Amino acid sequence: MVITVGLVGNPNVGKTSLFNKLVGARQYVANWPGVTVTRIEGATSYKEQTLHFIDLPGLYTLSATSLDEKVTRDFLLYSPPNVTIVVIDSMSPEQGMYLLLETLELNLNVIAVFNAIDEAKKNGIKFDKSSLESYLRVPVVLTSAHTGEGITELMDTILATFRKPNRPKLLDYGPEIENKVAEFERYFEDTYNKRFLSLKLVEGDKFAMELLKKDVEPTSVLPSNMSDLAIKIAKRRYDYVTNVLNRAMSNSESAITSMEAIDHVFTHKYIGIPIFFALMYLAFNFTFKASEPLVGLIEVGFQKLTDLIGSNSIFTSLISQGIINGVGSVISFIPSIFALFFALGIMEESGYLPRIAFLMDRAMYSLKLTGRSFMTLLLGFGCNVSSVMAARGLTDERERVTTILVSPFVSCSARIPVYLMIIGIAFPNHRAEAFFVMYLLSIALTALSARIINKIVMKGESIPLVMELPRYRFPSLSNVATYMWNRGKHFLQKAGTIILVASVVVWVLIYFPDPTNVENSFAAMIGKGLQFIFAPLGFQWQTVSALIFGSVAKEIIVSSFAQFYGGVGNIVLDPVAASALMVFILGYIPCFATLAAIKSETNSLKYPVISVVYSLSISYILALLVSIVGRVIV
Amino acid sequence: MKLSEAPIGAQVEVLHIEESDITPRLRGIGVLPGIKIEVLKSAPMGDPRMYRVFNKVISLRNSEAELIEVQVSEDSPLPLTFVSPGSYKVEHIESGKIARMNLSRLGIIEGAIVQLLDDRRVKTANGVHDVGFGKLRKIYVVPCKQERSPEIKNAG
Ligand SMILES: Nc1nc2c(ncn2[C@@H]2O[C@H](COP(=O)(O)OP(=O)(O)OP(=O)(O)O)[C@@H](O)[C@H]2O)c(=O)[nH]1
Ligand SMILES: [Mg+2]
Repeated sequence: MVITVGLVGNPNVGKTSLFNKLVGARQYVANWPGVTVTRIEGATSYKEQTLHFIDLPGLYTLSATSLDEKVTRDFLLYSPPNVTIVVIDSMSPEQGMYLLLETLELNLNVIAVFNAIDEAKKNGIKFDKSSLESYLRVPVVLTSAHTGEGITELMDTILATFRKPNRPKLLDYGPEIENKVAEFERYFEDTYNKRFLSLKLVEGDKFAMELLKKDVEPTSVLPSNMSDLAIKIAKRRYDYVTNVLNRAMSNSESAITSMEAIDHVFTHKYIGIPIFFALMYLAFNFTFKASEPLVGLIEVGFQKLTDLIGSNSIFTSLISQGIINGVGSVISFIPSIFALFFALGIMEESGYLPRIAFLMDRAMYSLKLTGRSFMTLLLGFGCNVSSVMAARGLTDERERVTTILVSPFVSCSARIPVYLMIIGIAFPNHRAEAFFVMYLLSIALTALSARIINKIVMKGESIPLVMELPRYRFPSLSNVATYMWNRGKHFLQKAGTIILVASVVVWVLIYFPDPTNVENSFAAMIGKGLQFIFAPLGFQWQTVSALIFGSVAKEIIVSSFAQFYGGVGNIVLDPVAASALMVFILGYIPCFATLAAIKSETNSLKYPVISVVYSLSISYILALLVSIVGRVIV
Repeated sequence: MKLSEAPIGAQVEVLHIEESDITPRLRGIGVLPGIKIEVLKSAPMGDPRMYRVFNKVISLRNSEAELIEVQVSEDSPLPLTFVSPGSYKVEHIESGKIARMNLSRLGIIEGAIVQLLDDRRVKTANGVHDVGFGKLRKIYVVPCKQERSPEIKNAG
């Protein structure tokens, strides 16, 4: 017997944290609303039953507007689970209980979970569980996904609720509304949950209007005072919630926490933004500095190993050049990638990220975007696929597509090895500065592209932003470490798969037809054949070939360079060509994984094509500019 | 008054909401007629601003906050620049240490009773002072109950 259990609730209340605790998974958890954007499934067995959990994106109301919210609504409506857990934040239970009342209208088998009870206790908030149960008429469990409190009780409650379903009808909205609801029910097919849909119709929900029977014209049936009715319905729910909480929750006045005092500085009118840039600088500096000794050590190690094996026969050449030198040159930069994820982890876990959205919102007006999309783009410093996915949380379709299209210009961590390699060769004395300049350029190019895309591809107006700012949480080392490992291990996997394969392919193209001289290799032929395109930028054939191979994944640029020159240490690049190269790499083409994500998230081939064409042209123009200006100066 | 015009630090009560694309979400969060909202702070250039609804903090652009008609709650602290002349109790002072010290020398400390005069000067236990607009804005007060005013005179 499989019992399906859905997890719904407001954003950021700890649904995924609970899911992880319940099934022993390590899904993406962070302290900002809108982390989960798709349904995530996982199973576990308990007392000889199989529990199949479905974690869902968060929402405030089942009148969904953004894509991620629609995922949750459609799931509850079209494939209702056996048991639905509504997760409520103990520190701000009102909104969660509102959603609970809405969910009960779907006639589901519901358990109310008050999560983060550890925080509530610390703040002197107490719940009377049995009176909550008697007013809400559903089982109530108080849990903490951090301490594990209430988790076993929740498991037992799931089994009990499954065996003895109860689907209470809690609220009567009064004759005016109830009559309308009853009247509207006949406009829907029997296959649907008619009461839910007609109530939603009275609330003016667009989705309910779409589901009307074909011959029903929405404009002819809807009441003229609909927005009044919608408010009456919401008022009725909130009145009920406030009444229940007055009886079942006690709250001693809480003092200002030190975190709130810090917030005064972080979101300060004048110094907030400078502090943000200072922190960014610190984070990238940390990425650079914290990993430096390790990077050097690994590099030397691989170099020794290559020398030891030599490359006299075809076999030893494949091992030492193709595999150790090719893959090793990328692996040696992995500590930097982990360091960056460590810094990003602190930003995401502490609750600072959405504050940046708040601070930057005004600046985003001119780009016809919101601070929320700024925050989404920041995630792209880890991996562009993350920001393309996270864009689902943006309500406005135009904003979402713009954000997706500019995401590739945010310099992802896969580009770190490339920059570090080039900087190490061309700017050995100004490495940290050059590294930071690349990030500034990346931000500027992203903003510029948003402007251009908004002008040409998607003309639009500015859009509203309603965003919750979660409370600060002290990021625990174990949480940040898990985050870092979850995100960073992806690169280890990549090194063992795509980068390994690509390195071997590059090795073949170098070894044949003439193993003695790389100038006569197939790789050189490809590079020389296309060199004329890049002649204005002053690129050698090695650079041209590396760029072509690197279009699969940026790290392969490093691996190719290392092989062309027989080790990173032997590469020669003058500062001007190096600068033009880095600028070109910053934008030139989204990696395959990002292109695939763009295609699936926009559901069309048009956007990945636009993305490739646009990014190739803009980076060519910029690199050309850099090399012209560079030649004048130097 | 519109929510976008409510002074920072004030507690307001929602009167009416104009329908727009985001009203369903606002209703879900609890922005409804009769509900109290606290104005917390503003981002650079005065937009967007942070508000507290029940115990959740949300960010709203002024263009959306304009659609929400509110009135200041009776017991809400307000900056001295925002109130009409009369007698008030200082609820809190939104400033750094130095500014606080300067104000305390004038007799303006949290809990003190002050009187705002018609010419926007402030009468405290130790005299009448011209505090200046910048500082007045940082002093949050609640109106004094009528029956308590004789006590002040005795104390002064
Ligand atoms: N102290 C405490 N923190 C918690 C608890 N549950 C979750 N958190 C923290 O709350 C934040 C949000 O947790 P998530 O599990 O990502 O929340 P979610 O509901 O899945 O959020 P969305 O996917 O964005 O809707 C994270 O920073 C968690 O570490 C809890 O029981 N106690
Ligand atoms: Mg989640």
